[in-house]
Amino acid sequence: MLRVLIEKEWKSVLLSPKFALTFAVTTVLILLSVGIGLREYRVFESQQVAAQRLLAEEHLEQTSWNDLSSRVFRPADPLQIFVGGVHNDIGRLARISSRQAALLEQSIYSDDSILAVFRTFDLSLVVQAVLSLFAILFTYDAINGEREAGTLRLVLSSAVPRARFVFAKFVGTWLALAVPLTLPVLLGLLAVVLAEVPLDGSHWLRLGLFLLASGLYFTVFMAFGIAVSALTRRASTSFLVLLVSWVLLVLVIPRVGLLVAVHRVPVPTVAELESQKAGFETRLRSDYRRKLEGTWVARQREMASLDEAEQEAYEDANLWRWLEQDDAARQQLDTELARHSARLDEDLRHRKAEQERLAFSLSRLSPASAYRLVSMRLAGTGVDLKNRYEAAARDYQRTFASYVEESSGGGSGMMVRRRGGGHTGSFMGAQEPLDLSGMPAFQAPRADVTGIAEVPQDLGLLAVEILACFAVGYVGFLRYDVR
Amino acid sequence: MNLDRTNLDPTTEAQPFLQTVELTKRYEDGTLALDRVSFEVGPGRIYAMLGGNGAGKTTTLNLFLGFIEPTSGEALIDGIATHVDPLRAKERIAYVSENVALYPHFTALQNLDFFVRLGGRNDLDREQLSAALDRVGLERQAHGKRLKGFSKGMRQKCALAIAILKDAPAILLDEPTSGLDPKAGMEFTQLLGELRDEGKAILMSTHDIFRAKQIADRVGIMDRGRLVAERQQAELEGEDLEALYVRYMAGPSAEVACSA
Repeated sequence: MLRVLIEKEWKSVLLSPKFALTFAVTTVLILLSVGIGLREYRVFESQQVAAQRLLAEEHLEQTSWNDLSSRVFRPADPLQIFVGGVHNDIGRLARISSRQAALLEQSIYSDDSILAVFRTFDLSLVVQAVLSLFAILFTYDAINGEREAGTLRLVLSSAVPRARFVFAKFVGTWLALAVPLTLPVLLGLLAVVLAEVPLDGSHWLRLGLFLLASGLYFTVFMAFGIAVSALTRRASTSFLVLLVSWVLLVLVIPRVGLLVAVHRVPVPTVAELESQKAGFETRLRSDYRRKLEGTWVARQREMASLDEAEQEAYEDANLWRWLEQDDAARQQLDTELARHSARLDEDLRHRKAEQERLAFSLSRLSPASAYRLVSMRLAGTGVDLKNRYEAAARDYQRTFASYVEESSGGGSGMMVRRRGGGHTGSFMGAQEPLDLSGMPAFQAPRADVTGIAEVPQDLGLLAVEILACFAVGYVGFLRYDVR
Repeated sequence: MNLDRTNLDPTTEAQPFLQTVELTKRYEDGTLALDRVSFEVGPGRIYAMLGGNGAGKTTTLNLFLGFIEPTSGEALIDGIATHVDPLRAKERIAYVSENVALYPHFTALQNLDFFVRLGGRNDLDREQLSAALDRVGLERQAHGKRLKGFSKGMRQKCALAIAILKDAPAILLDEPTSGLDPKAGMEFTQLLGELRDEGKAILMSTHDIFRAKQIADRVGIMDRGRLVAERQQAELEGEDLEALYVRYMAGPSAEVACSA
């Protein structure tokens, strides 16, 4: 009997006119999203190749260790085709020199601002916004629609257990919607494979989990639709309830979560932070200058009773010690400034992390957020992408600085070296190109399977939501008045 | 008001297949929909429940179908109380609703196939399904067409074909002839007669006094939840059923007006 009921459900969905329309729209959207993602991936990749070539040429003409700088590039990740995340919004390269801190700059939107008008359009967005709506469209009248049409009376006039009916409703509708929808997704994957995008085992694993998350997310809305349909008498009522719920779950709650977090855990802006640092530095330097002046006045006072020759002899005897004292004071000042700056940066990182934690915890009340977060985490295009690259760029900057230090002979950065030879001079402006064959390469951090450790939390949340919706629909239907 | 039950022959109802015993239903809002209603329908018999809106006919059918539970008393199908074991009870019945609701995107044959298999009959092939549709008078060219373009009469025929193929010992019909044209109504009545002759116990609710008199072996008149009168087919020959119906529905003054 269960088979008969399931068969009826998927036939009902497949034979309904709205299925043909929604299937066509979904197929176009999925293939379009993959097509756009693929194109952006190719553009990103070719821009990076060109930029690397340009950098290599610049390095060939580099003649001074003092001026030597480099750039590290954030390589394209195949999974950005499916889940753009913040990938388009953050920078693609970081400038590296032996003295400068590295920050990512030049987002794709800064080059092609027209892309920013419509923002990211990817498979995860199609699933999050469009497929969830379609799931509602096919389930809002699952139970009450049959009651209104009268078919529910006829079905239940046979010896059909209600539990079996609602289970078949769930499974049959799922099969009718989820299975056909995998077709355009598979076509999209085929397009990616045929485009020879390099996908290794880790990519496939993460892609598989992303598709699992997409399936779970879709199922949440399907189960939700059936549950609301089993709790209301009229299809028009359930449609309205579901539409309002969709707006809340997909559009409102995720943003409210962010707003609440921003309000509860304020994070200073970069300008505020710089202002704090500058204010502290001004105070400290002012103190330092005052102390230094006081020190020199004290020294002058020590020599006040001496004649000129004695003063000169006294100065000669103490000058080195005084310079060392002044240098130590200056170093102490620099250390204190660096410590304060590091403390503020650390505090900023903590506050950001706390804000993110709160924002994501609150917005996870919505399955749309849970899905978005898990998708970005799997694709490696989440909010940590920028931090991950900037941390790697900072690490590389230190390695680069050490390399420059060693290669320049540890001096003032004015050493030059001939190609393939040793140190040949210590003056600026030598015209010989540098031998950069030993320059360390930047290792781009990968969002690999280690990031998946946090994924079960969101997948589990989606699974629990499915079970909860199904339980509500199940109990609602057991008590449903079919008259 | 006491039940007006004259000249009933108990031997014809010796083994009732459908039976209500002091069946009472009071809804949560306090409405008394059925008040101690008792009647029986034996195999090979048609029982027509006559009554206006709110008389309790559909409530009685809902209690047989297990859609609601009785406040007291019981509805029995083959001796099984429907509120105790509704699934086992429903294995023994087929049901035809007033506005026959089948799946509009399925063809007549697909609808038949689904509902018949749901009723536990997986042994029927396409030819047998078609034969059932032939029997109820649905034209061959309509068998493979989707139901969304079907008239009420055509849908009624499909529903009856389902009931026939389910081969249940009892059939419940809710206002089966309402909205049918005279020809369709006559064909329908004829089919019901055939099913009775095959031994089915048939319970129908109706407003249609003419058809009830024509086909029913026994007629029960219901008013505001009570079974107020019962007549056997033989008794109706000498009695004006319409006058009787109107008398119980609207009181003696209405009966006079009706006779005039």
